[in-house]
Amino acid sequence: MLNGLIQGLHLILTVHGIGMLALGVVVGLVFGAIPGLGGTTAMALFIPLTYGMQSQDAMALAGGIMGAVAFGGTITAILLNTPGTPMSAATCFDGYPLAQQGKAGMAIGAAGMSSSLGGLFGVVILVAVMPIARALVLSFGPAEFFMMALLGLVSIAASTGGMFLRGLISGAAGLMMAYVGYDSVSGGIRYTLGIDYLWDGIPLVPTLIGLFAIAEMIKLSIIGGRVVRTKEFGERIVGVREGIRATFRNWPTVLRGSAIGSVIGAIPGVGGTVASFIAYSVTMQVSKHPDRFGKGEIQGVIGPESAINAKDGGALIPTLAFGIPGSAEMAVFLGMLVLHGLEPGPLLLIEHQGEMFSLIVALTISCVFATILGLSVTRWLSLITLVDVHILVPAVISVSLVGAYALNNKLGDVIIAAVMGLLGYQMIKYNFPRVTMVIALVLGDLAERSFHQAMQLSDGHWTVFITRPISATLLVLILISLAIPVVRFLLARRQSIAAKKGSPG
Amino acid sequence: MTLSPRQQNIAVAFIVLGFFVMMFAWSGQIRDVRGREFPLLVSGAGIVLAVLDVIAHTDTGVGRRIGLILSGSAHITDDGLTVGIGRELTVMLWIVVATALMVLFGLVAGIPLFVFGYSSLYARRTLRQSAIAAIATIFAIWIGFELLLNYQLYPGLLFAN
Repeated sequence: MLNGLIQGLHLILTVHGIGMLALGVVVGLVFGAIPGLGGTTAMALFIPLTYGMQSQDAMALAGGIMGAVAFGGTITAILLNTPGTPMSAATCFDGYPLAQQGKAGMAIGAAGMSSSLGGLFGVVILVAVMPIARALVLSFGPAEFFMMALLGLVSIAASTGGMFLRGLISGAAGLMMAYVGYDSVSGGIRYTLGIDYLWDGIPLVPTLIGLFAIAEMIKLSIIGGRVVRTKEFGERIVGVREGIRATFRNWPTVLRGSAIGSVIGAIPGVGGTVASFIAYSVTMQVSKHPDRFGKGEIQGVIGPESAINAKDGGALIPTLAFGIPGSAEMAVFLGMLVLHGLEPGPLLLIEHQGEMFSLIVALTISCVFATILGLSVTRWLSLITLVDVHILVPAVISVSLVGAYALNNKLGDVIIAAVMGLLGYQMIKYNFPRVTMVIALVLGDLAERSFHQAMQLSDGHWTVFITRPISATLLVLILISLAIPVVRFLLARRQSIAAKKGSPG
Repeated sequence: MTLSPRQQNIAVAFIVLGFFVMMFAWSGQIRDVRGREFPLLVSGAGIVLAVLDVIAHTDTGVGRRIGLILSGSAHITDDGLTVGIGRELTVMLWIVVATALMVLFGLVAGIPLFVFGYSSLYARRTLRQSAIAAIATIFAIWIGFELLLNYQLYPGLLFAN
């Protein structure tokens, strides 16, 4: 492992590597600060730019974006009460009251420091778990991979709140999309309508650009106006050091938040928003002064912020080890890995250790770098959110389409990106989660191939999926994921009946 | 004629159902057994899910129950997207226009044309502001892609040769 870390450091600490990392951090801060954009859009938009790069430079760019997005969103959450990303919403509860009390600097300082420490914690967990994950993955056979792919899809659909059914439908549609083109199992060609371009299948990166970047632009364009509608700020940001000191004074809160973030990040589909809210709620519950929360309690900023950045380390575990992306951002990142010939799964951790550790090093440095840079450009970052939507929209659409073309110099990619943009907008409008579609598109081939291999190895017996211990365990987890909405419904009904009985009259 | 959100959702659910039925039929025509087995399974499951989705959006007891269990609620919550269909179609048309301009005239000519057109006609900015936005966008793209990254920007179908 030490060798891997040294190799990673060696690959990142070059002029190119540092430059890409810095670019990633700047992009992450800007995209994180603007509500509606976020890390997924930033990654989708910047994947094509990495095409000609060395893979370690691409990892540096990705690490920079991942590490910085959250802090960009936090700054606007504290100053404007408008979280740039949903996961920063929990920070608003106490961050904004602190800003109103003239302690914006303290809140931002504490957020930055706890975010850095949380990020570092997440990376440590990732490095510690990677050897275990590698050993576990090596014990996987086709039946387990099939079940793992299925679990990834179902658990993500189950975590989409009130969109479970449509999440599953999106997943099924994504799987069907994955089967367009050359079929690696039978060697035939499927669903191409005689179009040669589709022989290679529906390309992942233009799909990501369309579903996330272009679809979000259509939505912003329809809503119109400015990205953030607010009148305030203008206040000087002071007291940052006080916030940093407060973070170290509240180290148990940092540790607790980071642990929550790492664990929740590793569960596919749950993600940073849930992690930050749970961290906020736990911090409040264990606090000696829960009454101060919501009125400007610094622990209310430190807890969720530690969790937000710590979740990246956790989320990378299933993504890198199993090729199961736990979130839209990770699915886009997976697209970047595939683009650079890095097939996620057990071999990735063995054959491309250098690239993986360069990502880990980049993520580590970016956590700290983003805070330093973010603190120095806080005011400017807030001003970005006042940009007119109608300036942003045509520019981002143009860059998206150029990026889609630049990948393979194929016109078809531009058309796919545009079509996916239109589809993505309709999916937003009618509550079809895009993340399950993308994850299905990524996992489709693995699921089909593993399914056939497992059936072949077992002479066509379906029991192969339930007789092997790991496969059976995964099946139980799938059934639990499927049962979640039913349990949620039954619990809600019981509560409502109890409330009716309890209410007088 | 304007459709209510429930009617719109039912219409969408029927479109999705139609998609899966079509894919199921198409999958059945694949000659190789191994090639059609998994797509048949997936599209079959898709049909079941789509039927449930159609029922979930109907104003019936079963529909409401399915909606509550599997979707929390069948009602749509759409981040401020309850705007007129005209506006939606206009924005989507601009995406089609952007793609068509870039395909036909290439990126160097197509992008400024799109940005100028969008800013002046849709966003109602002045001609001067629109021209500045168009020039700034293509200049930034040219520097980023062609100058720094050495990508050759697409010349367009009309100017390809």
